[in-house]
Amino acid sequence: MTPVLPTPVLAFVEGLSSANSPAYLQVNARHNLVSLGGALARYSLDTLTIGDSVTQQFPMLEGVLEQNQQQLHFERVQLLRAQYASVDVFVADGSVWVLLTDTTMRSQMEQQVQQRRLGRTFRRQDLGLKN
Amino acid sequence: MLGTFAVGKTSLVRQYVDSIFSEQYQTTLGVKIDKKVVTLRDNSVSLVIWDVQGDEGGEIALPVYLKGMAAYILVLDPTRAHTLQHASQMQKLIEQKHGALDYVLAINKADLREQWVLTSDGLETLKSGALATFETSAKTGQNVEQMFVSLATRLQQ
Repeated sequence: MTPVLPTPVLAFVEGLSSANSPAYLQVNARHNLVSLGGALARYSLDTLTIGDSVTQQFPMLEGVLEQNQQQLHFERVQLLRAQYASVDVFVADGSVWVLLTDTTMRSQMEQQVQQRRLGRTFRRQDLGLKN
Repeated sequence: MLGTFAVGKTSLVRQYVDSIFSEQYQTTLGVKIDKKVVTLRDNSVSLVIWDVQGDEGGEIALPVYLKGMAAYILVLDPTRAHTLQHASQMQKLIEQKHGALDYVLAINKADLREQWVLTSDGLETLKSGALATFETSAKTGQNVEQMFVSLATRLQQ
């Protein structure tokens, strides 16, 4: 039996999912685009043409589709300046499914933490050289 | 693009793809993907460049980024001696996991030559395994185009 979620919980879950701007691409064995949907504009992928080579239109997939692995997960992919996504690639029923979710907010916070950490290390190494 | 942090991987790509250089150090989180079409005599080759986050050691934070890699540019900063050690470590790691893939060695920051502290220990080994070695400067653009074109030429063969 499918559980019925209370309205505020459902609203939260729906909000979460739309905040993540999910989008998908379906690709055939010849690496042509079969179908697409979701928040593609978020990733500047809203002008892709069905029937055309997906790697020509979305270069990130060059070399990735050939892997033919059941599932691949690419974390923190910077597709545009200051915009990050998680990219998941699944092989199912003769198609490759590429799923994108927006991780910009989380990634930007991680980037700032990393910037401070590596900045400190860099300065320490620089001082070490001079002393 | 592989190498430890702050060796100039992102700056090399930005110089090559957009002809831009910034003095401000901005760390890369995860991976940034760019594409550039290189014209070689009668043919053109599409280079899809994965600029991978550099960590503090010779590890690769997320090995999944290397899936499907055809070749790589190994970048080191000769003003920081340990970046050579990390580059050697990375090269060995890649060879273990992906076999003997072609790589080009970039000795970056050629514009800071007076600050170079690199010794030949380990450098010759890395150089001898590389398709080619370039002394590059993301700041002035020295050898940047030549380096990418040399890799594209190899990939086309």
